[in-house]
Amino acid sequence: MGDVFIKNCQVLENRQLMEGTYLMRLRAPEIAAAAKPGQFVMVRTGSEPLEGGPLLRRPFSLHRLNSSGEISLLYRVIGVGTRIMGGVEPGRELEIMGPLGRGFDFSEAKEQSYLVAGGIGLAPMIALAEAMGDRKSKFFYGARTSKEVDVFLALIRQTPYEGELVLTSEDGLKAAKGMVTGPLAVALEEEPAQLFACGPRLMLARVAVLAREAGVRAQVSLEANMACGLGACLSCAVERASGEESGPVYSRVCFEGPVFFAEEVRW
Amino acid sequence: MVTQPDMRVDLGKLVLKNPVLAASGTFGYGQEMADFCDPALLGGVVVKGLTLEPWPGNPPPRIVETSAGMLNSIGLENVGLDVFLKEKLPWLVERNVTVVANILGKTVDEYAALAQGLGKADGVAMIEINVSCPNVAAGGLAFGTSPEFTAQVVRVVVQAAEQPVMVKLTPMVSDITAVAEAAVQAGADIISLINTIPAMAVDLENRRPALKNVVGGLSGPAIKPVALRLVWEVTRAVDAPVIGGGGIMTAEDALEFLMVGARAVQVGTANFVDPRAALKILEGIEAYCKEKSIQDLSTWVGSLKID
Repeated sequence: MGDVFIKNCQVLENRQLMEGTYLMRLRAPEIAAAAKPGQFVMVRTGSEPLEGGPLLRRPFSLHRLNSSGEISLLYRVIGVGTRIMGGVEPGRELEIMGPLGRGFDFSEAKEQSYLVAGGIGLAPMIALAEAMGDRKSKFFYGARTSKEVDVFLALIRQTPYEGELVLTSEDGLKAAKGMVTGPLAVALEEEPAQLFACGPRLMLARVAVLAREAGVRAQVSLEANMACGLGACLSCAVERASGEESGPVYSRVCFEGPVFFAEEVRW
Repeated sequence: MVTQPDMRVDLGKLVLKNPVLAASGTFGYGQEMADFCDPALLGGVVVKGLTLEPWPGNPPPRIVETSAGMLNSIGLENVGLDVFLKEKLPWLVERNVTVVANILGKTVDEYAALAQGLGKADGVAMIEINVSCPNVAAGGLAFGTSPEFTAQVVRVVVQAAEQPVMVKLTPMVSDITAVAEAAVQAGADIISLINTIPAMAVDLENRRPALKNVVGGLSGPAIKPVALRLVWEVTRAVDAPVIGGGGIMTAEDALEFLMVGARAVQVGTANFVDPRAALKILEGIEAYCKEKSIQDLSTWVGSLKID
């Protein structure tokens, strides 16, 4: 594979953006230089298992990559590992492995693209938006709450992204009420465009259907429970759309993914 | 001057260059970990369990972390014997890796066919019989919990194989020495243990098992004391060499297994935490030998003192 590193990376910033959601900035020059949007890293979150820390590393997609040797992770606290991460003070080092997996392929994104994110699925989509440069695109973001809308706006405004923003929230405050796939369906009808998406499984399944109906391709970033992150343990299986006759066939989210073409996946 | 300790392991028909092997299912086919661990530096690599035909494995979620451990129910996803021989083995042979092929059959005949297929292959140093996988419906554990069935599988594999034959035992028996003795009497050259311990975790909020397969195999530091006890019992019961493992994370863990009587160790779950783990453990054992002036590691094997 080449260009994969395990490095002790200094935490430069670790800030709570809203209840349970954090942004961590780390110094990781080798990883930042090698990484592409949609790839991920495995973070060793804490102490030895017998001291109460978790055993396995935790996977996070790269939220931002920058040319000055920094990476950012946008994460939600959901268990012991992320709770420990939330408490890490700047100046401390975390052992990080990456970049890993297959990222987004936006080399063909010439005409128009739609970036679609739901909830914490925003994490890799900001890196992609940033890398799209002046390519024509619209960014669809589905939030649960108005607070999440604020967080999104603050994050996207830190990037040079200039595309149109389409926002929805479940509470209907500060954004159109509903699911992000609603306005996406309308947009696809008006102007079909290739899709890049990350978010809850149900949202991605809907994106896959919309892409098929509109006759466009969709690249979706998946998540899974993972142990090694290198393709050895076969834990992070996702069922492929092929292989119906001979029984199920699985791909590894960490290795063949985390970004898949929507038609590759059995939803 | 500190001399380089002799780390070689005499397994009777086979000598390993050192006592640290990567356990089956935790190191893929070697290539997956190669960015961080040169598999040729290890005493051996036990490749992902092989079946005659490719197997898809179990539906996800396949793993969940538990206290000081993890459960897996991969379900023996593997490329099958033919693809292994054509596409995976050559890469390992080219790099001079000591390859141990782990095999699992649904029937006794399948075990024999696997051994036969591997017997013709250059570059497979040893066969490990898997009669202890908890994640498959047929074969595996169904054989390993019975001394008679274990012996039956061992006999056909020993007959069909050209390489030394090792048997990997399950901890899920009331008397593991009976199974070990049956395996050795049936012709097994080496005993390895332990495989994972069948276990379960639930997701309280969703009222669902954490694994789609409901039950999986527990591994990691949580099982080390169980493994240590079983390795100790087996090494006292049989003369055949024993390779021990279960929750080994550090060189100290490995040295404990050697001290109770294992001649070598298998490192498993630690490879997931850090792909460099097996190498670090090897280096740690070497450093310990130098520090304690142990010139020949085999003198450490079974050196536990019981007052």
